[in-house]
Amino acid sequence: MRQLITFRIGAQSLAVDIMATREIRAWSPTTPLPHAAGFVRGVLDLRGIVLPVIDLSARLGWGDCDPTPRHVVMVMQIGDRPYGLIVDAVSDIATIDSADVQAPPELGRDGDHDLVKGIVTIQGEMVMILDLDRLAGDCPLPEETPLAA
Amino acid sequence: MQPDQTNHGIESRVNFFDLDQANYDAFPAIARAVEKAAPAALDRFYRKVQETPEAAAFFSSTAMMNHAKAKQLDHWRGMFARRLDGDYFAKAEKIGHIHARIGLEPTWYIGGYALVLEQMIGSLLTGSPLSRLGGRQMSRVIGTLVKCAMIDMDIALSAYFRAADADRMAVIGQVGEAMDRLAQGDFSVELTGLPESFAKLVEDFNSMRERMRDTLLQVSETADGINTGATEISQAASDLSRRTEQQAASLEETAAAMDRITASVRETAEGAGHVYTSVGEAQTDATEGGRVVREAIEAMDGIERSAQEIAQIIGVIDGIAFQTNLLALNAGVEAARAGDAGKGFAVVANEVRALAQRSADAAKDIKGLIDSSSKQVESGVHLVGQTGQALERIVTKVAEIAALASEISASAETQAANMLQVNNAVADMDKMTQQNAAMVEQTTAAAHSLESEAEELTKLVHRFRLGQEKRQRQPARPVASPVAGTEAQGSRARPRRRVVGNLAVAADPAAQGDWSDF
Repeated sequence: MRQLITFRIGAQSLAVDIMATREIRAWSPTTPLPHAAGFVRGVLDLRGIVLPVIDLSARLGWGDCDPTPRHVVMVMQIGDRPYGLIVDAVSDIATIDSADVQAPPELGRDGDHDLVKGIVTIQGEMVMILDLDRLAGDCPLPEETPLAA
Repeated sequence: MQPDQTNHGIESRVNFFDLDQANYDAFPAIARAVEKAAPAALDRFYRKVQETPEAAAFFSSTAMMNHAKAKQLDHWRGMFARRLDGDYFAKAEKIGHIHARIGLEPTWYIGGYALVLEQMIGSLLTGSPLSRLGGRQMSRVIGTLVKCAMIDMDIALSAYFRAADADRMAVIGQVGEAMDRLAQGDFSVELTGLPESFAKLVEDFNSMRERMRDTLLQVSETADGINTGATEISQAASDLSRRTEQQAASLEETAAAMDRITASVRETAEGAGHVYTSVGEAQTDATEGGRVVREAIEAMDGIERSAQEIAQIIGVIDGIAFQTNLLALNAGVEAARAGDAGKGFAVVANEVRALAQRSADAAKDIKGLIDSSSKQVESGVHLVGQTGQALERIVTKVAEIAALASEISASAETQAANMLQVNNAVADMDKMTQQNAAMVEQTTAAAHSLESEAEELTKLVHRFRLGQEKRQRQPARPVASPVAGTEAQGSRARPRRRVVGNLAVAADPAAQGDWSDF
């Protein structure tokens, strides 16, 4: 048994592992970084920690989103540092059986770039579970420097 | 000449002239003297006649004169051939009648006797055997001759004067009859056949008759003209009367119609006044409506402002719900990390999330309702604005209507005043028409009177028979009886030629034939 946090981007329902989730907060304007990748919105100061904020819609290839105060930034612990993911809305905390998770279909895609770890059906709706490591893999970021060492 | 009168005439004369037997005894001697002296004496006389134009005019030819001479000689012979009887008397009277007929004046007749007597007395006293008679016997012969000649002359002259008297009496009678017919109205009578000596009388009579007839004809024609004119006047007056009556009736109808129209116009004026008042009230109401609309618009604006404020508040609530939801999610995440120790906390966090979600849903519902309300308010504002514009247009139109109603009211008042004038005029016309009708009736009566007077005059004139001119005239009107009378009288009035035989002039051949009886 494991717990997921489900959320929405457009009409799509997605999910991440709740244990990787550090915090959920409302969107606030970010500070853009020069020469950053297109899906990186900039950086955000979270109680002294500067973390990169990823436009998940753009990262998934579904087009840039236009964030508002009603958008939500999910702060995830990926590897040894936090990342912010911009999503449209957080849906729920769901408890699923790991056996129910199915692998995504391999359909002519580069396996290294497959961001979906698995697919599970919750209350009749198909939910894609994101592979957070791969999501942040292509995100070159400065070394995490604690502002208050 | 009745025989009785003849016998009486001869007997009384014989007695008065005292012709006795002694006289008759002298007849043979006288007869011889006649044979001896009379022819020469008659020759002498007729020579004298031929020498005297007035006397010669009685004879157309010498043969006629010789015939007369022979007849005269026979008369002398017959006078002394026997006793003086009725036959002789008739012959002597016939001579007088003939003389009267041919107009031979006694002068010539007595002159002839004088010549014959002169010759015969001369012959008796000188050349005849009788001259040998004694004076006593001679005087008886001559006396008898003279006595018989006087008797003969007396008979002839008496007859002559009687005949002349008869002629005069005939003329007087004819004139009297003509005058009588004139007096009876017959102007067709003519005096004809009178002797030459009465020519002037005939001319004067006929002239007088013609003048009077012409005058009466003119009077008749004038009367006919008057009659025709009077009839036409009467006809025209009747027509005028009828038309005047129609006019009076029309005027009455007109007056009634005018009264009704006037009443209608009055009603119109009052109606227009009411319309004016009502329109004024409507204008006030519409103005009031405009004010209400403006207030409604303001109220709508207030509602909209409140709705916006509510929407802002709802936004705040929604934001709180959003934040609460995030907080609950974080609590859930923390509870998950806590493992079994965090399960109770996770339940609470879930409850909070559910409440936050319900708040967000309620806020969303309210927001939808507010949006709907705002749209409806906006639509209401729009509609109320249109209502306000419509009311303003209504106010404008109502003001125009009020002005028009005012004008209508004023016009109707003016019309009513004018109608009153027309009514008065119609009443005057009615009065005049009544007077005209009365006048026309008087005219009709006068025309009828004139007509009857003219008819009376025509009747009076028709009593006179005026001859052919009158008959040929066609009367203007078919007045049956007078015309019939005129024609009847006219046919009777055809000039009758009165022939009086014993008044024939000397040139008449028939009269000349009578010399055979001389």
